[in-house]
Amino acid sequence: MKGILLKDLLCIRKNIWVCVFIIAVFGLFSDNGVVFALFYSIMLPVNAIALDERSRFERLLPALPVSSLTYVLSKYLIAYGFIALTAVLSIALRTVKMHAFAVPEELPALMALCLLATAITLVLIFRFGVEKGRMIYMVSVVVQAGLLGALGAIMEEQTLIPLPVIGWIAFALAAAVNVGSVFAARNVYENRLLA
Amino acid sequence: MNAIECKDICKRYGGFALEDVSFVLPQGCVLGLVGENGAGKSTLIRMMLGACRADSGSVNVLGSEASGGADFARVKQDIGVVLDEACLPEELNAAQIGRTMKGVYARWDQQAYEGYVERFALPRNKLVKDYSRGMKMKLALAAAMSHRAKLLVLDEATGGLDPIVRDEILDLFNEFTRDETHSILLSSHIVSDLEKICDYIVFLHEGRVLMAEEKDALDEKYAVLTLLEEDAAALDPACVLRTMRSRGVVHLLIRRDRLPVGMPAGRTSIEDIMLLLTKGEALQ
Amino acid sequence: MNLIISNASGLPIYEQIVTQIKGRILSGALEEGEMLPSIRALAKDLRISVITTKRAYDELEREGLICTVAGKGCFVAARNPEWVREGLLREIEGHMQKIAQLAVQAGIRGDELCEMFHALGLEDGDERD
Repeated sequence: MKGILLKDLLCIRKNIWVCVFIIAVFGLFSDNGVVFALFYSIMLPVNAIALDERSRFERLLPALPVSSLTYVLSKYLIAYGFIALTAVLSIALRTVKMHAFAVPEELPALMALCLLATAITLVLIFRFGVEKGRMIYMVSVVVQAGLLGALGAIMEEQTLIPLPVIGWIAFALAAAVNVGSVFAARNVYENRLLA
Repeated sequence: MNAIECKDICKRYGGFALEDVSFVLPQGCVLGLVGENGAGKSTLIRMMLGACRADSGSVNVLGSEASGGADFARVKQDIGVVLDEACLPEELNAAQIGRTMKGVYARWDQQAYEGYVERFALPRNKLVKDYSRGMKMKLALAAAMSHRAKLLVLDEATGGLDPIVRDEILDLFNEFTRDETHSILLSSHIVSDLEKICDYIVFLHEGRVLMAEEKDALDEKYAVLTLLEEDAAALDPACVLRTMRSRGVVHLLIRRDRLPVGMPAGRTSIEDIMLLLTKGEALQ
Repeated sequence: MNLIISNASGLPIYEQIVTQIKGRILSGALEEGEMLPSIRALAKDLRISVITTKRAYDELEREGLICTVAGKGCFVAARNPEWVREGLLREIEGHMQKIAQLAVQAGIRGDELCEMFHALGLEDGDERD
């Protein structure tokens, strides 16, 4: 795992800088800028997979003492790592602004959405490869943004459950979906390799 | 223990089939897998790495059954692989590849790796995507030989390299097998390389094993004769394995022990044997 | 050990090794009790197959010229000149029988054969070391 993660992080180092830059810029100048950073986090593993495809690294992978689960999981971990990083930074920024520890209320819901996007995108990319996967990802982002907008509107109307709680519930659900997604991605990837 | 054991492997795959492929690579030896492109060599190698499943038969590598699972992944710590393309991450340089491999292999030998990088005169700061093909292969080889592997598997790894480099690499393989626990499987269609270092040769053609012999015994057991039609007809059909007619003469692959005494039959190269096995006709 | 292996010589490689080592043992260049390179080391030094060097050593052992001590290596055996000579005589007899067969096939008579042999130039009445 260590080796594969290191390789990925080294390969996408340029993208990482962009991501950090986006987080910094949006974080400083806009409250909701963190949203963009969150969604960009998913591009990181996608780029890693794209670089692997270009180098034809997946031909070499079966030769390495790395199980397909490890390979697949490493991509998810990259996404989670940056989602977490973004979340921490956004909490820090809000805390600074409020002069007291504060968690942006929309954060859990946004993270949930991001995790969901990760789960769906990565499975699709492992199944279809990067080109088609990227297309599918774009479509899914639009759909999810739309759903978020609609759900958000409905949720704001009701007063039974406070917004942040819904956010955390969504987060927990998204986390569960991710677990399933990792194993699904592993199976899909293995089937493609073993063909 | 045998380094590799293939038993009765069968696989149908599109318009192609492997049938009853069996051979053994004893520990401490070098086995050359010869065959034209499309004979099935790469598929067999993928089976040995657990990247491809046979329809029937078994593949055992270093004592364990080859599979895609985590158990076999542990066995791969002892296997160094070089494919016909380096397939190394293009955005990294030699040092970074070393660091990656260090995180992948438990017994990574950084000193050995740096030694090879130096020996192959590989530029330290260039990214792999700017390497020539020869340089990429050398880097892949450096990585494959720097984690104290017990088995090296090379799939057409020397093609496209110039003869001096190939010779250097064959020397490295020679050194590698000074240790009797080290083995090598070399698949190639460049027969001259195999002739230099192999202990065993397995001929693969259209998915079948045509011949599996000790390399030095090949020349003792078989000979290639070029005769005129009448002289060829005079030979005992029982000793003729293959015939091929070209330009008015007949080339025959024969068994030396059935040769009539006194008939001169010179040295045979693996290339000649391979040509006749694949292009020649067997007698009815 | 500096053995010369020729691919063009017409003899199987293991035979070339046997002949050369045997020659050195019989001539005294390799002394009794001297350790020979291991099968593997010899193979790698000569760039030939370990199967071949093993075969050569097995042959030499069969002829009583070397002996293998498990865990230690291969050594030149104590020389028994009589015994070695007998072995060589047997080999000569074997070759003679083959020559005789060929002569019969070719219709060559005994005296013609002797003439051919004398033409080889082996001196009469000499003892070879």
